[in-house]
Amino acid sequence: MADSEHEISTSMRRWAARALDFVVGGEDAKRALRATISFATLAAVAVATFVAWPALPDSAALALLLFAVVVSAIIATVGVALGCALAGTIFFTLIAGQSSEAQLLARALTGGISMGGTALILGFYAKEARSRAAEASQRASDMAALYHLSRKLSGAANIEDVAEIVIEHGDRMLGCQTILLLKDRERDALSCDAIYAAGTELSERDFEAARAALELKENTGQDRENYSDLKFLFMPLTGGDEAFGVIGFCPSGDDSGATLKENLSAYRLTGAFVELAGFALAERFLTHAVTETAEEARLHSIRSDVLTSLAHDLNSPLSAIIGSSSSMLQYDAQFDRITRLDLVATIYEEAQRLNRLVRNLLHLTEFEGEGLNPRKNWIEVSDLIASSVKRAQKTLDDRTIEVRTEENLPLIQADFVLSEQAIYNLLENAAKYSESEDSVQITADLYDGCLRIRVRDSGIGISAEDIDQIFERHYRSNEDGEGRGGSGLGLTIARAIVEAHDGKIDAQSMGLGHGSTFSIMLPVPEQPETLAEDQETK
Amino acid sequence: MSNDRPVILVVDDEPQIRRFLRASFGVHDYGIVEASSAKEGLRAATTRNPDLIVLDLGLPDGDGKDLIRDVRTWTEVPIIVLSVRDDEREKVAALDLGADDYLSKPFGMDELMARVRVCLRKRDQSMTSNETSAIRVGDVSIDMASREVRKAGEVVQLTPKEFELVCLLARNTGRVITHRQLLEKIWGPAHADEVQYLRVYIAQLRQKLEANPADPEIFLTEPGVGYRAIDPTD
Repeated sequence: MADSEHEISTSMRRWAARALDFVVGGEDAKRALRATISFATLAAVAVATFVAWPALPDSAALALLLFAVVVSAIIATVGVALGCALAGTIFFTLIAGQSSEAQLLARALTGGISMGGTALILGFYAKEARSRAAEASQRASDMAALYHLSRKLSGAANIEDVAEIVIEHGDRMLGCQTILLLKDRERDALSCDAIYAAGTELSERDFEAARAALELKENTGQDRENYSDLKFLFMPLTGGDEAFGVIGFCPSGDDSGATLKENLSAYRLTGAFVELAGFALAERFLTHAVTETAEEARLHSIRSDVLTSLAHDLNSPLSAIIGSSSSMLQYDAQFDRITRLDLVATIYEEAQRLNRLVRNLLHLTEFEGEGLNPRKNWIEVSDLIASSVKRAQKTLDDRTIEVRTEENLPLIQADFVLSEQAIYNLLENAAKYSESEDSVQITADLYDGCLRIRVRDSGIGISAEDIDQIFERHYRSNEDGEGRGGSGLGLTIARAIVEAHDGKIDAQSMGLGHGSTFSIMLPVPEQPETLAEDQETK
Repeated sequence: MSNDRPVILVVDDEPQIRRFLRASFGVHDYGIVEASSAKEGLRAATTRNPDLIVLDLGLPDGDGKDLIRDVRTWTEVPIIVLSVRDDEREKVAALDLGADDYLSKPFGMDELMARVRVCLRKRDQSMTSNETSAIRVGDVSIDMASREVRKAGEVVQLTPKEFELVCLLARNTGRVITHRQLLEKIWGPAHADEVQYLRVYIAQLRQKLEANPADPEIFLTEPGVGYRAIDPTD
């Protein structure tokens, strides 16, 4: 849509330019043509007058000649109109034939004043009107161009987009080669990695000027003091009180020798252009900064949450292990076989608990370090679910597990190990919050163009006020009974994994006591080729 | 190979791990040779001629994978690799280099013993017979000569590729086979990365040969690594 709009605005501008050309006479050929028409009109009038003479009264002859002068004053320049007036006056003076000197003088004065005055006054007025019209049309086309730029900028998704648009439009609207240098906000200086320019080499002097533009927040380069040797004019891009980058203009094409200021058509628009670009850039920079700060705060709070509850989580299995094993070391001889087995079983179970906790923590540190980096490959969904269920069997205990997968589900692109972990965590969560005789359902189907995997339990459910926080780190339902175990990290990890796969995860519950359903939605990619030529034998 | 007692070489730098392995292998009457570094391990592998090697991948003096590569230049002795959890790339690399199986730390002794038994049995089989003409895994039986596959006595129609896949997995019952190994052997080296073939064919195989394809008991997925056929009746 933007493109067709742009088409229209360029063709409008082209037409405006043509109309302007026609009226003002931008080209020499047209100017000459108009002068010719003026003199031709005058000549035609003169011939007509000459033929009709002496039947034609003086006043009529004067009126005809004046007509020719008026025509030339309107269509041609003041000079041409004055020329016509002079020629007309001479003709009017001489056509009367033998007359007295006084008569000739009177004719010359009459013709000269009327025609010369008309040519002068009308010529200047016409010129003024034409330049006004030209200005108005130029302004209209400028406005159209700026409007188009601002539309484009407001649609830009990120800083890179803004930069690209600015450069493209700078080249086109201003007829200048445009470059953009962005600020690295951490170092508070121009970043050499963020130079946007199509095939432009910047010299050290250029950089110096650009840096100065950013620091002083004023124009440098080209027509400025100390920088007259440069081809570029650098202008700071500001939004609010901060400069976010520098834009450089260099007149391109025929005008490359001229300074930007001499190239009027470019300079006229530059102010508005730079302002628009500055605001667009500032907005993207600030949005970026806000997101980053929020993310940092989130990570920070996560870290401290984890650390505080970690001590507790690690402590209880460790206490059991140390207690049991030290008892065995101390009193081994006095214990009977059953007691010894009991203590060893405790050590084993608590160590398993520690193992789960450590694994979750490892996952978490991995996610928070360099971020989650799924090694995606083709996965068959029922395989994934079967594998997750198999792994969760011990945790799910006596609960009946109902698996339903729609037939002919597409393959998905995912990291098998991670996605299995995500589903396992949901199953573990279902086990944790339901009774051992309950059933857990896991289903997979296509929904809304996505692959949907749902884990449903008939356990304690989630209250309306808890449901928003259920994926937050170390959030555990207040309804947590004794001995639910676990670290409260499972759902957070599941969410991180699903999001790393560009998917979504959410929880629904009809309220406390009514069970809960967790849904994972994963994108379905274009299906790979899987060799169909293999036919059944026998 | 000394007397009739199989000898297991344990290469692990953690004395605690070696201690409980020694105790448990002792119960099963396996002989045990210990090494705490890759260098010692290689020396023991050449001088003591073990029947099985249990190798920790993270050794202080070098990568366990190098040891596998060295050992494989002159012997087919089964190697079971121990690795840190969740490092599938390491496992796959070790398996592709010729390790026979892997186990993630921490592991239970029951799991390790099951792997050890499979590897030793495999070794005995390959020493006694060349190529078996009939294989059985669970209630699936495969007749290599007639290329006939039966499930609980009923003949099942398989495509040529499905047949090759089932043979490869069943011949290695108990052992994990990596995606790459399966793809290279069945589809050829050019298709070694086309995991989607395997996904589709394994699903088809389960449909045809598993009692409940949604809960497979014979053809199991090893997440991120490959597939393993196991005999549920074992």
